[in-house]
Amino acid sequence: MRAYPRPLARLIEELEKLPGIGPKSAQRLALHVLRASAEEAAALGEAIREVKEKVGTCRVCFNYSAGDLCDLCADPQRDDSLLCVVGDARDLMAMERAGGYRGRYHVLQGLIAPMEGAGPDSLRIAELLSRVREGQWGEVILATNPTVEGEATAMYIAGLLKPLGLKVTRIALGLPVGGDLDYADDVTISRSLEGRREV
Amino acid sequence: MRRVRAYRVSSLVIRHRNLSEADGIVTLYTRERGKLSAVAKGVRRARSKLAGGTQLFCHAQMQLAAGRSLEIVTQVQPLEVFYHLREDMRRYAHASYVAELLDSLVHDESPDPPLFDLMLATLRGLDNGGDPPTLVRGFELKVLARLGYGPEMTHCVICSAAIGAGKAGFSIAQGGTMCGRCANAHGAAPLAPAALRAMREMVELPPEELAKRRIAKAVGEELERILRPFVDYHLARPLRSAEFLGS
Repeated sequence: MRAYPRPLARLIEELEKLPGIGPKSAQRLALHVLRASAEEAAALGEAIREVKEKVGTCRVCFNYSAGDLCDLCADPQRDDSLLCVVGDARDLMAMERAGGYRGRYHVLQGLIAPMEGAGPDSLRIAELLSRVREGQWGEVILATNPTVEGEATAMYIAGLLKPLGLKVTRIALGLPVGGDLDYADDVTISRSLEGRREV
Repeated sequence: MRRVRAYRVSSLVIRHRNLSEADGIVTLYTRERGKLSAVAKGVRRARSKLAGGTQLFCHAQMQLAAGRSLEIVTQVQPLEVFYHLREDMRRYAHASYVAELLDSLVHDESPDPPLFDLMLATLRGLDNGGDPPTLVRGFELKVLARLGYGPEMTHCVICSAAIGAGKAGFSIAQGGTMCGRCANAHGAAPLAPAALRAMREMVELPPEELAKRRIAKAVGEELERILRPFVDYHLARPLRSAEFLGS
């Protein structure tokens, strides 16, 4: 059986380790890299090297950051009285993409999931509590996913924050925009009824 | 090519994992087919019609289709979402433990409707405000008995003498109760008469009744000390949710 030259085979092997990339996709990507210009290939290699070297987590909010402080924490324009708690950095990006929110964030780096062995101690909950105690917050918004893990985590955090005497809110749960009432489960429908508003 | 055929099941979601960009893999315990895994496509999108009924612990009517390796969820009608399990960390952790225990004890596609009913009643009990330790110890005893791993509770596992109200012991390795004399001779842990009575009663009680009971704290602690390692003894690997509950 003929094989690819060793360096090419190695690139295919490495690409195959990426999520969602099977042997065929890996082969296609590797051949693409091989056919690309030397500059393009070098840029890809450099980008991969740089992301591991330079990106860490923000010491305040635990978002991904290229420095000690992430851009959001360093931004003096953001509202220091609002704190939004999210499960991971992708949720933060979703909130930012939507616009509308101008406060600060706190990234938990996960959700409480007993079956995955993820308890409160493996998340940034202790850091959240000390941050809340030290700051002048008017409101903490719990914006974890509306899944079992996300809800349970939000409820748990709410229980810890309430005694500190500040306003703790949960993002609205209900029907998604463009959704279908007929397919919604009972809890979603009753939540959307509870959260109804006058028009 | 294999013909895609759809079928309906009553199911409980005992595990939910993310798959690729927007999909999920659910492990279901179904009344009709036992345990099976299915792909729920697009379930993490906000507008997914499958999202509601494929959440962890959800009791639902599902339509599944045979896929290449895993089944595919095609329709879901959620029946009970057990919302209170999310509002209380203790209930959430106990429900997770029960789900993980069932997942690790049963094999794929070996249907057992009474076991389905037990799981459903246990989740209902945990959701409805039943006492978590009572429900979970009862679940452990019943599921082990159902699958043939149940501990001996009436006779001595060494000398076969009937266990009365007197001194008794419990041996995990020997699989159950020991009379006072054998317990001494083999160094088995002592078992209080109240704990033994509770065990015998729990294994007999219908699961719906368990949700109305509350075992005394001391009895509950003793049963946990006995049953948790007994359960682990029959499992290939320790349960993560058990470590979570212990911490």
